Amino acid sequence: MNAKKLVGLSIGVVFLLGLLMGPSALAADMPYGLKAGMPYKGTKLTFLVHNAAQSQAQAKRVGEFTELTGIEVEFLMVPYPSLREKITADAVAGTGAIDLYCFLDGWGPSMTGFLTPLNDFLKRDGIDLSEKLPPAYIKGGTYDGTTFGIPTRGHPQLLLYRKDLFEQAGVAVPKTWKELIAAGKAIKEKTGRDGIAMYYGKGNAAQNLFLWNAFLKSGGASIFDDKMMPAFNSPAGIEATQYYVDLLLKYGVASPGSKFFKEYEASQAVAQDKAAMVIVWWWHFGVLTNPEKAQAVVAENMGFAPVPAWEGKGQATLALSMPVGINQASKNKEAAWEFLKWLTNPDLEKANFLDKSDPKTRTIVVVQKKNLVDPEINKVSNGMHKAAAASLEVSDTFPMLPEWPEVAAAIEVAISNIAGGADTKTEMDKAAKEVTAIMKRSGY
Amino acid sequence: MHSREKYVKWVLMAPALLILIGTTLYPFLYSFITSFRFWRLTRSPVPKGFVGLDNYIRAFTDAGFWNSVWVTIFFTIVSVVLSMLIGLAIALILERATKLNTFMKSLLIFPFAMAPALKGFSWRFMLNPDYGILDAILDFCLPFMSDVVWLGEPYWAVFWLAMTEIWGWAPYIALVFIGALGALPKETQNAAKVDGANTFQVFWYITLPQLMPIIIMVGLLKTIFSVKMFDQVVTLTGGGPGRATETLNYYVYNQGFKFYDMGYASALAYILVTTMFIFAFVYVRFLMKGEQK
Repeated sequence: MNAKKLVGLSIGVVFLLGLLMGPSALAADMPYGLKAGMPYKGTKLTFLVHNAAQSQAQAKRVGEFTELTGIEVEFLMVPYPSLREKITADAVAGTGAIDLYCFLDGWGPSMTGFLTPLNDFLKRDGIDLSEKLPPAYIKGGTYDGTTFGIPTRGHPQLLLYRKDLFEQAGVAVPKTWKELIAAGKAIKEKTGRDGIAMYYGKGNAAQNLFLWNAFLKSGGASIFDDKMMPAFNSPAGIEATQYYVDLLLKYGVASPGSKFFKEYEASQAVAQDKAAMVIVWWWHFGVLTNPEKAQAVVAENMGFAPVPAWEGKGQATLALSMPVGINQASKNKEAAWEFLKWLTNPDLEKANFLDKSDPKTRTIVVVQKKNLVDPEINKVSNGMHKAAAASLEVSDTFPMLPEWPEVAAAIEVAISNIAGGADTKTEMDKAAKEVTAIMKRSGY
Repeated sequence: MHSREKYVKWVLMAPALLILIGTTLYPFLYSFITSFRFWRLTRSPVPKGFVGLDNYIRAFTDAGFWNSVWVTIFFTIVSVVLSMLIGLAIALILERATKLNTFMKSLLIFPFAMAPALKGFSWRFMLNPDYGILDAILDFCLPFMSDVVWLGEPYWAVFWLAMTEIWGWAPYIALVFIGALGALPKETQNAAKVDGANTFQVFWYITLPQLMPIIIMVGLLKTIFSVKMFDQVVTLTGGGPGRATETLNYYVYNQGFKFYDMGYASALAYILVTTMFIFAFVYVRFLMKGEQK
C-alpha cells in the first residue's frame, strides 16, 4: 500500500469513526457537549430567571462558559412572584430581547407558544434526558411529547421535623397520616408546640394544593378522570380532602394560622419554634438549619423523612421543577442551546452545591440523577439527597395542561373555603362544576 | 411671528404628545379592540378572530366576576368613608399651629409614602398569629377574640385589607384637609361664635359646608384609588380566604396574566373603566355642580 492510499484510508477511517461515534466524539475536546471553535463568539444572551440562590451561583460561574464559547450571558433576575408576568410581557412583545426563560413546570403547557421545542437539539447532540433526570423533572419540561425546557432547579417534598421535640414527646417519626396526627397530639401536649404547620391559604401559585395532592393521590383518588373531567369530588377525593383539612379542623394538630398560611409562613412557624413539623419542598431544610434564618434550637435539631402516606396504601408526592427554555422569538437559538447545555451540566450543579462559602447558598439544590446519589453531596447533606431521590421515585407533577393554572385556581378557592369551615362536599362540587366549564370551554 | 410661535409650540410639545399617545392612547385602543376578540395566549401568541360581544356577555354570567364586583363595592365604601372620616378628624386635631402639631404633620406623610405592596406584606406579618405584633396586641386587648385568625376569616380579611388602605390614605387626606382648613376665612367662624354657636355647631354649619368642595374632590380621588385596589390584595390576602378579597382589578389581572385569557381580561377591564367613567361623570356633574350654586 503506497503512502497516498494509506493517508486516504486513514482519513476515511477517521471520518467513518466520527460518523459512527456521533457529534460527541467530534467535540471531544469540549466539555458538556459544547461546540468546538467558538462558532457563536461575541453573541450576547439574556437569561430571565427568578432571584434564587441557585441563579446567583450560576451567574457567579458563568465566566467559565464565556471562556469556553465566547458567548456572554446576562442574568436578568426578578422576584419569583413577578417571573411569569415578565415572561408573558416579553413573549407577547415578540422582540426576542430575552433569549432564555426559567419557568415553573405547571406554567409550561400554557407557554408552549412562547418556547422553542428542544427535541431536535437533544437528538442532534445525542442527549438522553432520561439518563440525566428523574422522570418527574423531565415531565415538568415536556408537553404532548415535546420537550420545552430542562430544569436546573427542582424539588421533591419531604417531612421536616424537630428531632428534639419528638424525643421529648416520646414519639417516632410518622410514616402514615394517622401516626402524624398521633405524634402531633403528643407534641402539643408535652411540648406546647403545634404538631404541624400546614398551609391552606390562597394566593401564591395554588400552594394549598401541594399537600392536598399528596393526600388525594396516596388516598387513591385523582384530579381528573380519563376524559379529563374533574374526579377530585369523587367519594375518595372528598374523604382525602376532608382528612387533609381535619389536621386543623378536627384533630387540632395544625397551627391555627394554617388557615391562611402560605408555604413559606408554615416553614417560618417551624423556624420560629412554634411548630414541630412541616411538609415542604426540600430547599426549606437549608433555611431551617440556618441559624441566621431559624432559631438556634431549631437549626440544631432539624431532621427530614419521607412524606407520610395513608395506612396500607402507597406513598404519592408531588415534584416541582423550574425548567429553562429558549424563547421562540430568540435570534440566538443556537447560542442559547449551547448555554442551556452548560447550565444543565452536573459538574456545575455539584460545584454550586458544594460551595458553602456564602450562607445564602444553603437553599441550592441538585436535580441530576448522578448528583442525587453522589457520595460527596450526600455526606454534606447528611443523606438528604438519597432520601429525596427515593421521594422522587413516587413523585409526579400536577397535570401538565394549558388550563392547569385556571383549574388550580378553582380548587385552591375550594380548599381555602373548606379550611375556613365550609362544607367539603359542597365546595368540591362547586369547584368541579367550575373546572368542568373550564375544560369544556377548552374543547375537552 | 405669531404663526411661527404657534408652530414652535407644537414642535416643543410633540415629543411629550408622541410618548403619551404611544404609552396611553395606543394600548387603550388596542385593548378595546382586543376585548372583542378571542385571544388566549395558551393557544396563540397573537389575537385571533372577532367574537362580537361574547367576552362581555360571558362577564355577566360569571359568578367570579360578580363576586369581585361586590367585594370591590364593599371595600370601596368602607375604605373611602373611613379614610375621609379619620382624615378629617386628624385634620381637626392638628389644625392648630403648635410645635407638636407641626412635628405630627410631618409624620403624616410616611404611611402614604410607603409602597402599597410593602404595606400588604407588613400587615400580613403583623397579623401572623404565631409572631405578629399586632395580633399579640389585639389578643392582649381583646382576649375574647384571641382565637380569631384575622386573615383567615372572610369579613375580617376585607376589614384588614381596608385598614391597610385607610392607614396609608387617612394621614394624606388629613394633610389635604389641614391645608384647606387653614385657607378658610376665619370671619364667619368668629361671627358664629359671637352669636353663641358652640364648637360642634361652628364645625357643622360653618366649617363643613366650606370644606365641601375639597371633600368632594378628595372623595372622588379616593374612590378611584379604592376601585382599582390591587397591590395589597396580592401581598396581604392573595384574594382569600376563598374569594373574599378578590377585587375587580385583581380578578382582571388573574384572567389576563394567570389564565392568559387576554380577550376576556380586556373586556373586564373595559367594564371597570366604563363604570368608573360613568361614576366620575355623575359625581362631578351633580355634586360639583351643586357646590357651585
